[in-house]
Amino acid sequence: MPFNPENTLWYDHWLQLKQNRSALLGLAIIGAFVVVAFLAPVLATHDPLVQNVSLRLSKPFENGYLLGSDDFGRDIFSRILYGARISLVIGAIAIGISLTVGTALGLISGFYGGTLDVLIMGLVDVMLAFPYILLAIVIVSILGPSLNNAMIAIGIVGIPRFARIIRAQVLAEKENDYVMVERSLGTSDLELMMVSILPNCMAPIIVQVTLGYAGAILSSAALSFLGLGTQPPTPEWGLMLASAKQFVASAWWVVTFPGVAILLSVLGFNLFGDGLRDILDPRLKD
Amino acid sequence: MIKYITKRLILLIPTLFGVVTIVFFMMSLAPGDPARLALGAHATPEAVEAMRHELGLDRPLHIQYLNYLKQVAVFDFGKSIKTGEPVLYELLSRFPATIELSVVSIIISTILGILAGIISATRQNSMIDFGAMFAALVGVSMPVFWLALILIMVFSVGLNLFPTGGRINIRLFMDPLTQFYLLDAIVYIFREGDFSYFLSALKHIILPAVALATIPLAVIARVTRSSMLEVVRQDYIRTARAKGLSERTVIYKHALRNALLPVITIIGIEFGYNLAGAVLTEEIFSWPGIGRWLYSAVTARDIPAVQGGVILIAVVFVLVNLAVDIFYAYINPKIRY
Amino acid sequence: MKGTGILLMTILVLICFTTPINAAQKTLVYGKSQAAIALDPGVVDEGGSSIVVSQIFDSLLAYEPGGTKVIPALAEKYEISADGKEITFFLRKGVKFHDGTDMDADAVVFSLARQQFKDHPYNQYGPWKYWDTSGFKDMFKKDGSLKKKGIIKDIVKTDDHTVKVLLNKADAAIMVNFTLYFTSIVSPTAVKKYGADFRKNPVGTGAFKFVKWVKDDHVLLKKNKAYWGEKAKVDNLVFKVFPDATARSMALIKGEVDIIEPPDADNLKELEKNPRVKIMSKEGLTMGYICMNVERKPFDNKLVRQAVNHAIDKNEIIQAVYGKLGSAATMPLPPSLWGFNKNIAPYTYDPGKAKELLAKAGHADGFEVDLFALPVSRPYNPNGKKVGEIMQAQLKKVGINAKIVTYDIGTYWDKVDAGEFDMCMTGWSGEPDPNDWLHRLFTAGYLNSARWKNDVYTDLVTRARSISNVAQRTGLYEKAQEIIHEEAPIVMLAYGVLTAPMRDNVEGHIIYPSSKLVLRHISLK
Repeated sequence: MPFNPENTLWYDHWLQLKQNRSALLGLAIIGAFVVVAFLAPVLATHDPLVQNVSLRLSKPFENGYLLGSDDFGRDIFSRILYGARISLVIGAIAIGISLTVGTALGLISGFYGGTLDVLIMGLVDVMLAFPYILLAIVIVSILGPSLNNAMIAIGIVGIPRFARIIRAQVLAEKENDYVMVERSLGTSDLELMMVSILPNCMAPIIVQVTLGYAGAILSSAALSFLGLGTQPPTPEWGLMLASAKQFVASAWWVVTFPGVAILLSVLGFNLFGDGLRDILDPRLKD
Repeated sequence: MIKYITKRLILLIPTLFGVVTIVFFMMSLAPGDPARLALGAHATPEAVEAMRHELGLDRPLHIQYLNYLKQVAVFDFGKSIKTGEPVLYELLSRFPATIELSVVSIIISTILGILAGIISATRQNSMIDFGAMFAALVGVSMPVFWLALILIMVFSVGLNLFPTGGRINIRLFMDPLTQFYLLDAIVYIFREGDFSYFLSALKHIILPAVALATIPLAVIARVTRSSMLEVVRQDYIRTARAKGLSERTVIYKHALRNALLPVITIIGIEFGYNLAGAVLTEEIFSWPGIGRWLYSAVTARDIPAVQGGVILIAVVFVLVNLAVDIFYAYINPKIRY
Repeated sequence: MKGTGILLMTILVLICFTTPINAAQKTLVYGKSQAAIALDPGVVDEGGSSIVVSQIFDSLLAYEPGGTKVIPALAEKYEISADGKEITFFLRKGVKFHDGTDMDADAVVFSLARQQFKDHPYNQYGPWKYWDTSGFKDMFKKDGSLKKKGIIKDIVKTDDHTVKVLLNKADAAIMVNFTLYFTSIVSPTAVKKYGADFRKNPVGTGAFKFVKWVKDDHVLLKKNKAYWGEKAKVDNLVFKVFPDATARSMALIKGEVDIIEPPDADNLKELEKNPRVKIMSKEGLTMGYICMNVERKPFDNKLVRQAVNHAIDKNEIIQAVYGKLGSAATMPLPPSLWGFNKNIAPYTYDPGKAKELLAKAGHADGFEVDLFALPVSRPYNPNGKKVGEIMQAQLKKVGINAKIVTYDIGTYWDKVDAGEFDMCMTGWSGEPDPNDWLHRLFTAGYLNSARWKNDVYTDLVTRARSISNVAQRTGLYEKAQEIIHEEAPIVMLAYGVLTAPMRDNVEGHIIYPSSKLVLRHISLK
């Protein structure tokens, strides 16, 4: 076949994306964060973990601290740079968990239907009965506070959304002729799911991954802020804010910069995700 | 209608059963022995053993589960380890504070959100539209706990306009009857002609309410805008316009009424989130609501409290969402039940 | 319009049923860090509740204001029999509980016996945490046989104003327990009336009466005009909860509260700058220290423990965490106490030496440990997590990788007591006798968190306990300190300074070295 419709479809999307200013802005922000994460050792002016108690709470530009120092005399600028690594990794792993488990559940549920569907969707409904952050807090409190457990908790909490989206897609795809044809040709269920149905669900998955990434960064920062996520001395943005309340009267820079980093990175993913949704899946729009 | 509501309520039962089951087994995995925690650090093994027996912890897990189901069925969620009080009482005594905060913040976000949405929609693709929608996206991306800190830093420490936390100036000695302080304070205006109670309660609620309103505000603005745009494209709006009605009448009388249907759903959902998920805001503003209570139960490993608290909050969350659905069905003539 | 009607009705009902408040009265507002949990002095075991019950209840004995001498309170005097097995309390006459009933021998027996005897009708409203763990009562095994005999045999009334506490064996340390809040005398009438709810409706004999408690927010007390002792000088007392140290000090600056529990060192600096705020402080009998678990590798090696002592820069920790709330510590007892050995040169901060010692111990490449960070603020350690983070960085410099571990406070002490840690933070607020520090904390018993055992040391401090000559005891204690310094089971961190920031119109506050809070001395100008 000389003509591959899928290629042109994705190319089409790319052209649309180039037209969407806010999506491009989002992509640029994400790109900047990825670059910062990779180049942190080069860009950082200090070791993010080295303390200098005698220079604690230095103002921005004072004593060689670009964005000031925290209450242990650590460089806030360097910690924010390294924090980009942590947040990107947390987001990736958490989304990885939600995506894998959620997709598997959604595929099985949609493909087989029947009792399995009722059970899985029942479980999904129950999970959605808990407010997002509350469920994450409870899971972490059971597993114990740590970076890994926070990622697992955020990953688990994100499963139901993926499961629902995939199931809806599978239900729609299942009725298509090509599925009927392949089935009659004796293609195995697994092959059918993985090779035929799943690729056709890519659009909503990509959108959900991008938006979910933003949510994961926010949630992990919130968990660390509460002392339930990353543990000291790791330079994580939420953790950097955990003791910041004590400085609202005396050291604004300790309070301000890590939050700006969180906001910007989340905004980047949301802008991009929003743009993608407009292009790939207009039906999902709000 | 009644049939519809009954059906939805019946459908709720398996969900709630699932909630109780999941929470029970999740918490049974939690480290920490409730008996030990109840007795304090230096209790003897014998005392712990006796307490375990009293709490039924020495029985097999499935028996414990069945017993818990029986208890929950009659709204007995056990007693908090930390305080020795029934969990239900503990939670209900903190609920008014959370409801008050959620109501005020949802009022703020509804008014401003709908307004912003309408303005954006009526000036589609203008700079105002673009700016408002960008702001809304910033709002959705906002780490609320950080915003709360910034609000405190700027408005309560820097400008000295608002207090940093709490519900009312303690020196006023308000004797709250309803536990909804704003309501109680209105009573003082009538009874004593004294506005200071109301002003103090208002001053205390503004910052946390604004912090909590950010995300709903942004979401409501976005939904209002897209819903408006969709409605404006409908035939009957075109007809209205064709009839020569003024743009104002068209927008506010015809379009808005229909466009608000999905917005109401969103408001309800966001209200549910606020009721149940205000942990961080309540924590930062020392707001004595259920979020803060549950968080401190989590950190103290008060297992019965967490167990009961999470179940109850989930129930409230589900019921609010159900109420929204029913209300939506009620006002939307297109849905047949 | 039906809604409006209902609203009007509601408002009308509200207007009729809320009680008016007298704003002209003098009210003292105390800003504290932890919310009260229960207000029955028998069941309390944490600071949020204990500072409230201390105002509502009295014990049989008390500390002198601002000092450490035991003075009579609800007991006018007491006698100890020659064999030390019988304590007779002669009760103050004419004292009434807040509910108007008499404080008499029946009430004293009731208050103590409900905690002591399993078959007491009001024993079920426990658990009586301190009483259960103080060794007062018999402990039984699972099969019901006696495991360990308790100190107290019986509590009996001999006449309306005399109570005898009969002991199974003599114990010189027991008297101090009768100054503490868990031996407070409660109104039996009120306990019988409220049952399990007594903890929400406390009735005692104290200088303040209970009025109202809004959970997680505040407790309102009012002056007890019929108080038997020095009466309170304010009409109302409010305990308002500010879990956050910054919010607490901000409230003080804004005048929302009159006096607060000490905030962080950085907040304290801000407070010092404020002309409307004054700060009282007093050296307390309190010290913070780090235990190394000598039962675990590598801390079974003395050289490693010494190395850690050289690796920790206390001054940095004091500067960043304690500020004026503490001073660097050297020996495991406060320097103001007799018996303190001034002649021992403290460990210097010397990472080079630390590395050398580690190499000698075979740990040139360092090792990994868990460092338990104290999860709550205490007079001897205002911020355990911060101390942990600084120690973590300091230890890293000599190759020790410390992982900071923290739990809720209950689990924390459980794990520490069970020895399930490598390094942990702990501290002690004790009595003005070296025995309470050197013997209590470093011989057998759960308080010996480092699990360090040294026969020579134990012999020295045990001998010192049995003699009454202070000079002789001093000699023994000084020798004991040489041993503990050399063996280094702990890193001494800081001696706490008890601090009370208050508005400038607050007069007459007295800080008790034992950390007990007594607010009846305060007047508002």
